[in-house]
Amino acid sequence: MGKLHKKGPRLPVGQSARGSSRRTIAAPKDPQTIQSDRFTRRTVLLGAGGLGLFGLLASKLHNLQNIEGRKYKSLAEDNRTATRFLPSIRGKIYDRTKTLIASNSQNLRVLLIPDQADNVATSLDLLSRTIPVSTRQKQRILRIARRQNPQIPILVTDNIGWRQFARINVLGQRIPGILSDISWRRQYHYGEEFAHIVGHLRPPTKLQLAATPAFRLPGTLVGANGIEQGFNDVLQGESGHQQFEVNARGRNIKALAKKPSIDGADLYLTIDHVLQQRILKRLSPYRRAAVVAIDVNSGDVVAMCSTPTFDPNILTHPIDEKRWRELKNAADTPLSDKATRGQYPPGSTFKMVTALAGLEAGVITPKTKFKCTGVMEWHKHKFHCWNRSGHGYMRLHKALKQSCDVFFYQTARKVGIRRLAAMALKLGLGEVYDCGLPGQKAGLIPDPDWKQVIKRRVWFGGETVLAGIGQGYVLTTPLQLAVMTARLATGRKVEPRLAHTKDKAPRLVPRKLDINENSLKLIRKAMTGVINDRDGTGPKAALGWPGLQMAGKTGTSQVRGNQSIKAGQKLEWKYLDHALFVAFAPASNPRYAISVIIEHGRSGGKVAGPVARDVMKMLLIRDPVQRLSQALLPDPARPENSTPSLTSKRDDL
Amino acid sequence: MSNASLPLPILRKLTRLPWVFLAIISLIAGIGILTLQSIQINNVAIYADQQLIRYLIALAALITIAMVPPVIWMRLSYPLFALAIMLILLVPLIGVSPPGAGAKRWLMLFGVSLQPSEFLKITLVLALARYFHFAPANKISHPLYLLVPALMILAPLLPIFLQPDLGTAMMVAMIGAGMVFLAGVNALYFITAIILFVSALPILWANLLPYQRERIFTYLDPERDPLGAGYHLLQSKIAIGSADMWGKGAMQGTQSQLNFLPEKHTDFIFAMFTEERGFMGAMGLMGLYIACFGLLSLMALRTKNLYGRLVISGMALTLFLYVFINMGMVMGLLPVVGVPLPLMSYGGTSIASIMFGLGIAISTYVHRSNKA
Repeated sequence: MGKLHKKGPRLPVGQSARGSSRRTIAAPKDPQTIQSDRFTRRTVLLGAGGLGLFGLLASKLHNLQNIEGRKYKSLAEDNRTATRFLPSIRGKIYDRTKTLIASNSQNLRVLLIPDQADNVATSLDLLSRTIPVSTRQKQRILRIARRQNPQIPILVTDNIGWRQFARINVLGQRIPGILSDISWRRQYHYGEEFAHIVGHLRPPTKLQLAATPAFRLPGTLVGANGIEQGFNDVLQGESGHQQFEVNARGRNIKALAKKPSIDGADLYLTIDHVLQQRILKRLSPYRRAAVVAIDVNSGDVVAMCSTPTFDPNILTHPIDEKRWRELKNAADTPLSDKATRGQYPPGSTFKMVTALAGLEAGVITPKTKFKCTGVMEWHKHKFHCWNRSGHGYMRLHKALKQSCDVFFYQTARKVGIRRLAAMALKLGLGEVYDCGLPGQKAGLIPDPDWKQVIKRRVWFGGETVLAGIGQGYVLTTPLQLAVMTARLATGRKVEPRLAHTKDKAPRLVPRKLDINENSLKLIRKAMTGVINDRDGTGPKAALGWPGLQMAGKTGTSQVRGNQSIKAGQKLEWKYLDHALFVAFAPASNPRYAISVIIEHGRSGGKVAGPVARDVMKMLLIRDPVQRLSQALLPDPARPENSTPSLTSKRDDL
Repeated sequence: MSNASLPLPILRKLTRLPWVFLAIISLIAGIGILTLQSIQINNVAIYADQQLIRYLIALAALITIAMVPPVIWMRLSYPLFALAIMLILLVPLIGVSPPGAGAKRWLMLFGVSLQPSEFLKITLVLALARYFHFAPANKISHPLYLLVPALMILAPLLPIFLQPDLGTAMMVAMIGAGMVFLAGVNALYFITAIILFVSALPILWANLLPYQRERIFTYLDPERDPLGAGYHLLQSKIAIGSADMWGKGAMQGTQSQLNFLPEKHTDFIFAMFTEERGFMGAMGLMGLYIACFGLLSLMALRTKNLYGRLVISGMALTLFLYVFINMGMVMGLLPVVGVPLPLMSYGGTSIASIMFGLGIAISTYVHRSNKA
């Protein structure tokens, strides 16, 4: 203001001075006033700008909470809770003698979750004060930690002792990222003996994952093959889960909800591991063979062997890749269960079916005679008997004993394929049994409809004739042949049983088959003759125990179709005939039925017969019903009631 | 104007204190302390207790400073600024890293840890205010007269940049520019600067290091790297977004209670507060801050001398930048840079430097009729 007054004298006084003074303030303002005005203006400007920016903050807040709030709420919930699965422990598998076949071995492990460790190397160093961690291990873990998702646990060591495990449980809490856990590893005892029966475990397939969400639990293994697969529902149990509130480090703060796991039930097999061992040993001279033994009263499969076999522990996850490949490509297909998946022409072991079909249909009687000249000509086709010189006049009993092909050609021709097939099905052939064993093959009992649908050809009469002796299209599995023999021996609809969940097997009495008992008696008598009569085809199968006879039937089935071979021609092994034998004993009061197949064994009577005899002896000696072994076994050195000594005695079989 | 040369009696000064303003900042600090109550270690809210004591001491200091005539503060402006620059220069030599951060930002002096960059912002305001107070009003737009303030702003920028503390550097530059703007320097300078900056952006982008670009990408889309660089921001957004209108309640915030929210007692306290108190709470807090800036602006306008005006409005600007950058960063509007929420965040240096600056500002307001 002082400066303005100095300028004053130049201006006129009075009103004009007032007016001009107003003008001076308005036009050439003094710099300080300009500065002051600018300050005011710019403060307001900045204030407005600040308010605008706060508006931006408020709109962002509104956006986060009211527009995207739901998304962030669910993210907050995801953050807060973690679900830990509680795995169920798989049921154990015992055999007939309550011996452990499949169990779970505890594997105590130390794991490291990189995400929860401040520094992986430091955590490992701290850990190495409790359990040894080698430099190489450390490097391996550090390498993995760099590569993979930091939330996936890395295995530090496994198979540690309980003492170390307890120490880790206490100390591990203080080492960030370190945790201990117990994992279960399936272990198979008597692995080779039960490889095909019990199966093994593997991670669930995509299909299984889709069907059963519980399988998504990390580390879940499900049965692959065998009883492990067939009874998976029983063995698996039910996994539970526990929900926790967790903090940012993943440490549990408090438990929220819990659904406990239900462990799987134990399973009892009908198979006897001692028999398995002995039978496999007996089969060891042969490249590929199978034996099935059934308790004819209950249907319990007491032995079922397929050779060659393998150790299922190799296939159990984690799989031994190299050995698995070896097994898969091995020449004699050890992975394939020949007892239930091998399909063979039954050959002459099928003749009981033809005979029964003929008797039941009334086309033959026990007195019906056919003449065997070594060949039957029919519709310009020649059907040869195995005995080229012919058997002469044959009635049923003798024809079965001597396995005369022509007699059964004639019978089959008369009875027709449909009635033949019906009888085969009635006796359990061409069927997959509901016994919890996956992958069973059905074999093949052909009839015209099947041929029309599958082969798109009409059925020829000659094919009926061939079916009559178990050749042509007919295919059976060793299990089916054993079931057939059991049904012939009892006249009841025996169903095979492999496992049950009760400690004591529930008692089963199969219903009677709709077959005339007299016809069955005839067949049984002839089967007894096969082994025990001088003119039978299977005298080598005779037990040699006075008072206890085995009944059976030989089978030598052609592999290379029905063309004949030139004399003296040396055939490759794979073209040799299969040797088959079915039998039951004791003939008078059947207890066990067995079937034996030796692939390319040439002769049912000479090769499969002795195997059947030895297997039956093993069965009878192991029989828990003591009256058999005590009353009937002729061995004077037999110790009283003592199974262990009996078994040692029988090791020479 | 009549008693210009006479010192005011102390009681008179006390009645001239802006009590409403002090009530508002105490309310904000109180909210901060209540929020810190939610962090308890063994049932003791150590942060809240410490913060309460610190605030009370700082408030007493503020009133004491306000009683001292501004002439004294004006004389101390340059030495204090020089001291702040010295401390900044010491950081790379004897500085320590705050827990969890890579950069050296703290100094340990006489057993007290402090952040020189917080102190620097306040003293920069004081120094610039003093400079413009004595600069001839008609010459301040002259380039020669702008050389000194430019140097004052640029001198601390380099060491801060090298720490590296991009956030503080940007803030110092903005405070400086704001002060120059308020001092009345020709607007053409600012318009030119803005145009130059915008046109330089592509060149700047081309010269950024990959990790710096990654930071910018992460800022633009935090879900890109939820466990890495974007973790802080994502967790903070979850904390804010998951709260309802009225929030989850005290100590009920899952994000903060379960430690998903990082730095929740310092830079991310707004996220914790919003999670507990919801939309209404956050809006209320923003309202308090706006009232605080508004009152400061009114105080600046009512103060007639330039030093006082510039100190008060400079403090308002500093506080505003703190609040806006912090809230913007916590909500994902701005990149994550280490800037505390004034009066709320736990931390001694922050409270002390802000209350110190406000003390001097209020001193000029209290003594406003006295020509300094």
